[in-house]
Amino acid sequence: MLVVSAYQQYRSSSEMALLSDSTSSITTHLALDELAYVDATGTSHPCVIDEAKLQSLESFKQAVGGENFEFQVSVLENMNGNGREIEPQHNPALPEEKMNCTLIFAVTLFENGRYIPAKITVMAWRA
Amino acid sequence: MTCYKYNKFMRERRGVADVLAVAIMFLLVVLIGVLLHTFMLTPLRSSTDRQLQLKSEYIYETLATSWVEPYSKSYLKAAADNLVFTEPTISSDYLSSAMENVLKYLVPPGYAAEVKLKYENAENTWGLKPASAEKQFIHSGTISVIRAEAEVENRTILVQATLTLFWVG
Repeated sequence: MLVVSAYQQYRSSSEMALLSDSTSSITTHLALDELAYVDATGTSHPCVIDEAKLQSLESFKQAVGGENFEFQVSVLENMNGNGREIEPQHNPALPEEKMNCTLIFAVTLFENGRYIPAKITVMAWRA
Repeated sequence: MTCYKYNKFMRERRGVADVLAVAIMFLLVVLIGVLLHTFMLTPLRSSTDRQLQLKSEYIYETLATSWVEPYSKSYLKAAADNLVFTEPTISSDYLSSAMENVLKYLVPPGYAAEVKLKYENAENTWGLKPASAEKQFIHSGTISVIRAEAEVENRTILVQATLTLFWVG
């Protein structure tokens, strides 16, 4: 019983580590590629989130290491105490029964020609 | 009589061997259980470390790209200017206050961050280095500053910037 319980906990811990790494990977893909601001010259700015791209994001599924994950994303801009949260229009709902992982990373938000410090929150789970 | 004694001796020896085998198997099972319990959090801890390293890189990139308002200059660029120029656009006092605010906002609770910029023998530090930290995650890069020099074309100066994220615990 001791071994079975230890093995189950080991499996659960490994699953959590895998989910955490997959969420990091999804966040990096969003910040460096999918939501990255591209200026008029066509230069992409990694880690700078384009507000318009975030709001119009349509796909919330991503395959990482051969497994499919679904995610929810939002950006919080609260540097001056305004507390403004920006979300995509079709952000999926968080499933109740699935294990999920939430990561919060610092990013820059590009909004009306300004580069504002903000935080991106990505919540991912197995699809 | 001799034959009877020999058989009894063999039976007793076999009994001891069986008990020993069961005891060893039991000890083995307990040992495996203990080892699994001991190392079960290792993958999760490694994953958390990778995540924190990534966090330090994101904080660095955010400081390198977001602006010190109302100026249109990034935090690290302004910090590099302060180190290189005698009269920078953003004053040292204003930058210190802005840097403190942005680090307070970006650094997660339970962590501390220090930003260090170095150029030749000059060095500037922002943020707080805790007296003791369980772990630290470092990300470094260079910030280029263009300085106009008399009778010479503009000179590009590279300032070394390092961000250290401390896990206070």
